[in-house]
Amino acid sequence: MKNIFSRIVIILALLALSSSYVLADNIIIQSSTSLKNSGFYRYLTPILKQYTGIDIGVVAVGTGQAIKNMKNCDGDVLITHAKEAELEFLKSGFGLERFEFMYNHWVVIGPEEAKKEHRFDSNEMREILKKIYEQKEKFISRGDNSGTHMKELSIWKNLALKPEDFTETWYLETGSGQGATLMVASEVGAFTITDTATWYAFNKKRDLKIIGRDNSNLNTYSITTINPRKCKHVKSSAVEKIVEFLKSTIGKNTISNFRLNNSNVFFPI
Amino acid sequence: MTPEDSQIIIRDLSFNIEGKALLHNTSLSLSGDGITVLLGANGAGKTIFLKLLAGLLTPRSGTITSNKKTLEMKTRSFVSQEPVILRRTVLKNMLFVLPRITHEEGTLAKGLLKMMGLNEKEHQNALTLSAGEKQRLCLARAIITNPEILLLDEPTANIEPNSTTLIEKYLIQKVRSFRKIFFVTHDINQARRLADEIVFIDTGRVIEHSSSENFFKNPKTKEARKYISGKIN
Amino acid sequence: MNDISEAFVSSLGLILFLDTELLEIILLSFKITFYAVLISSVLGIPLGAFLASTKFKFRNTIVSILFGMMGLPPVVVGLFVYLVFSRSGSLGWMGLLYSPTVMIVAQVILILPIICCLTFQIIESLHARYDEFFRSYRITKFKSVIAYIVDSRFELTTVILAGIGRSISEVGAIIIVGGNIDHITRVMTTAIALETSKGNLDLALGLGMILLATAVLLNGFILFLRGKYLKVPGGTI
Repeated sequence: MKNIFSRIVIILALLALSSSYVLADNIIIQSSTSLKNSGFYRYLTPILKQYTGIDIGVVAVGTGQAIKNMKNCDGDVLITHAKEAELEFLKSGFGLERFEFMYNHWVVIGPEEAKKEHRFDSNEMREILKKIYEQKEKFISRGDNSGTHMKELSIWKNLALKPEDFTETWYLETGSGQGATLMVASEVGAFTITDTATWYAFNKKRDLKIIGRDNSNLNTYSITTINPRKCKHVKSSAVEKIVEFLKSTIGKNTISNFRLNNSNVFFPI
Repeated sequence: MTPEDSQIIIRDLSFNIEGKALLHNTSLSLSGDGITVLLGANGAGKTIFLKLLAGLLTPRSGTITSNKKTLEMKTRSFVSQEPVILRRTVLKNMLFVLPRITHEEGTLAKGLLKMMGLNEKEHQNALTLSAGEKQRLCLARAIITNPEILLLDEPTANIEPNSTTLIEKYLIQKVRSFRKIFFVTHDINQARRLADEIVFIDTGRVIEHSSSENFFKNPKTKEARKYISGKIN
Repeated sequence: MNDISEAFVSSLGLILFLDTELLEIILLSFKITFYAVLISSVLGIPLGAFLASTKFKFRNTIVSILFGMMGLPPVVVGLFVYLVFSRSGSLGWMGLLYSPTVMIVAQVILILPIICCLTFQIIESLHARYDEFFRSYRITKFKSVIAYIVDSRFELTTVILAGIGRSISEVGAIIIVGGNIDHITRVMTTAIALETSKGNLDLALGLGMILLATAVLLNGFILFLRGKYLKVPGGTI
């Protein structure tokens, strides 16, 4: 009787131990959430392993948090899409080099009727957002210090407008991930900003449509390496291999070959 | 060693809870042999007195000695009114109180269980025993540690008559001759059957103390007389 | 209603095709819960039994603190553990951040108080009954604590099940310290969180149903083991 019991315990313990992974040979990427949500890393990981032999582990917490984590030395490399924050990171001495490696577009998403009714004369993001502000149309903000959020704030700043004053009426901050934010936009019939990869990956579009896009500024993704003097445990040589890969022709082709719903969503630089 | 040497001397013993005296300053000499019955009405203080003798309560004042040594030096076993049974077999309950479990102790345990009429239930879950069987187990368990003094707190109060008889017989025939027994009861007839010595307690005071024969023939106090005739319970 | 039926379909699909990734996630969830509950029980049950049966100077203070810790928000624990194990933290040199190990650490902090306090409560009433008996036979503290645990093994199984439930449903702490990394620190709850944030609600719900089913199966299995091996022979109790 006691024998069977101990046998069961041993089997359970073996089961538990069997899925052990050692992180020692992996590198950790602190990343924006949009790249993860689009499925890009899932696509990239086996290819990267094949060409460089490196295993990547991605911590996708949003650009703001990613940069903060890197300042704690909790990672090996940064992949984000907020130029100003990245430059500040370089200035702080934690960042070593910044390399822009791919881009896509920023788009404004909104309810179908808005498009049908031609509520906006232009399809330029800046103009649309200005009109949203003037007409107090419902707008959902990520509100979470992510790269998308930073982009949104930069537009308001550029327009010299302060939507934060209206958080109780039309400017709604969800503090949520991209998918959740788009869901809220759909439920409430509101507008929001996202990038084309996230948009194509999102499969509950319902009555949401692309209303406009930013024709003057691209959504640029950069990979930023870490200063080994500031962070002693950084696996710099492995990171270098990844950077070389992304710069190479194979890397660029890999980026171009990533498709969502049969569309290209990322373009190599 | 003379009978006087083996006597149990109680000096100025008292016990309080939250300022209320449950046993008032008591001094007496108890016999070191045979069965001493602590008799009295419910709430008189018999159990308190017994527990003080057992070392389970700390007195507010006073000492208990035997042959000039404190009673701590004597091995004591205590059987409570409600049997405390562990969630395991009858035999395992017996073995639990032993510091070491050897072959001899195992045999001894089984022998005691047989004397208590529990040998067929050795491997039965002790919690399924009847109240009487449980107390018999508790008594066997108290004996196996070979105590010099055995203290029992109304052990037969709520059990069936055949268990009561078995226990009383066992105490008189097998235990009395080589262990000191203190027995608390409020049952007059049981006291008559068992006692060599009576300590009669009323509201926290020992108001009468004599041999059993003298107590029942010639009770000195009014309360004792009332009690014997059955007027108080 | 649509989303819920879609969720059913999703979860069935995942199960039917024995999605290996799903299996990996379930296995890791079990592994983390197994170790977290094991460590919490091995430490917490004797501690709870000891505290319930021993009076000493700061006992009540310690017990109050432990009871208070049952209300620790998981996210707060996650942040705390993250700060300690971050490279810039005091235990950063161990390099344990974003690993299953640190997830187990965070969960032990959350579960140990629960197991300890529930044990305390169970043993407290047993202590009231057994204390005089143990004292009269001069049973050592060690032997008496073991006796308390052995005699409450039935009730303590429920305590362990409570710990398992708490662990398997936890997400706030382990997502912060684990990083929800594909193949390495992704468990059922963090996968649900990820799919929710992506907007894939049907998949998230489907995973949730699978989580619930595995939790129920696990509980059932443990209750079965309890019935078979923890009973006293020759009796129903």
